[in-house]
Amino acid sequence: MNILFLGTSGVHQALIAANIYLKKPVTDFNSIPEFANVAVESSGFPIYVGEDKQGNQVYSLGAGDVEMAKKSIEDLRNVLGCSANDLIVKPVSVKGEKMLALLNHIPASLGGHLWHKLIPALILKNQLKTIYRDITQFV
Amino acid sequence: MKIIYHCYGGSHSSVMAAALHLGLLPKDRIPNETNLMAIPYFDKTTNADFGSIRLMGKDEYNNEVYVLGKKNGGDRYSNLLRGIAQILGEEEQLLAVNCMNRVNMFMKLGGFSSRKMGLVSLGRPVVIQGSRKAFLELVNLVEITRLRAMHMV
Repeated sequence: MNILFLGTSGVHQALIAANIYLKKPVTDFNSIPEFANVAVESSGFPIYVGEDKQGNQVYSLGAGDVEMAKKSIEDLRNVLGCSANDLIVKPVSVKGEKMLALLNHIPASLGGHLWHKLIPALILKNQLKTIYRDITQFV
Repeated sequence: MKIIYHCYGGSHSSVMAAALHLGLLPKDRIPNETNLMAIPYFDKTTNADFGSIRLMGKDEYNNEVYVLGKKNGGDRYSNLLRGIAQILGEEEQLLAVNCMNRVNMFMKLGGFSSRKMGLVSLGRPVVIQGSRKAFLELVNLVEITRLRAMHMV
């Protein structure tokens, strides 16, 4: 089975949630592979994060409008003849999530490190407990 | 194969492209208002339809043709759909086609007025005018898509 963590940004809150799910350390955001990598985010492809103990493949994905994207992904899953046994979509919601998606669109030439990494890290540091709680309930 | 035409609202360009693909609209004649309004979903969707993948029909090769409104998801949304198909091991089964590069200003303004603002009497004539102007562009897109679909089989 595949598990997809879906957020407004796939390289911020959804990626952290996927790492928490896989019991990987997340306290230092900079150590999380692909964290704040807006080039990867802009491609639109899901990011492979790892495999859990049950052998499920875990992914992170960013889509500005989470509700709309969830609907499309679940519809596509059905169109392709698959079911929730093949792919589970887990939305990840945090305060300031629209801001995180917006920051991804600021060009790197206008101080990318600040907009893509430092400000999101500040926003997410305060949201870490919320994400942990959400993932604990999901498991 | 599943072919998904997508645009901003899933109400005009994607629906026209799907109708052309399925032969619901003839390719050799610019459609009038009656022809356009006879297409399922044309200028009839609501906000609740955003993100829904809706079946328009099957073509002569048994390909299923769908339409989707993805707001300003751009080409990124094609990759999103392709990525999901990849995860499910069904990448060969999907062709996602972004129609937005064939959309003109009349379609954008008319579509926004009719669907988003609910000003149908104002927006519909404008979107129909724009759809007629974009017709040959959409015919071209559909021809390219049909060729791509044949190569993918």
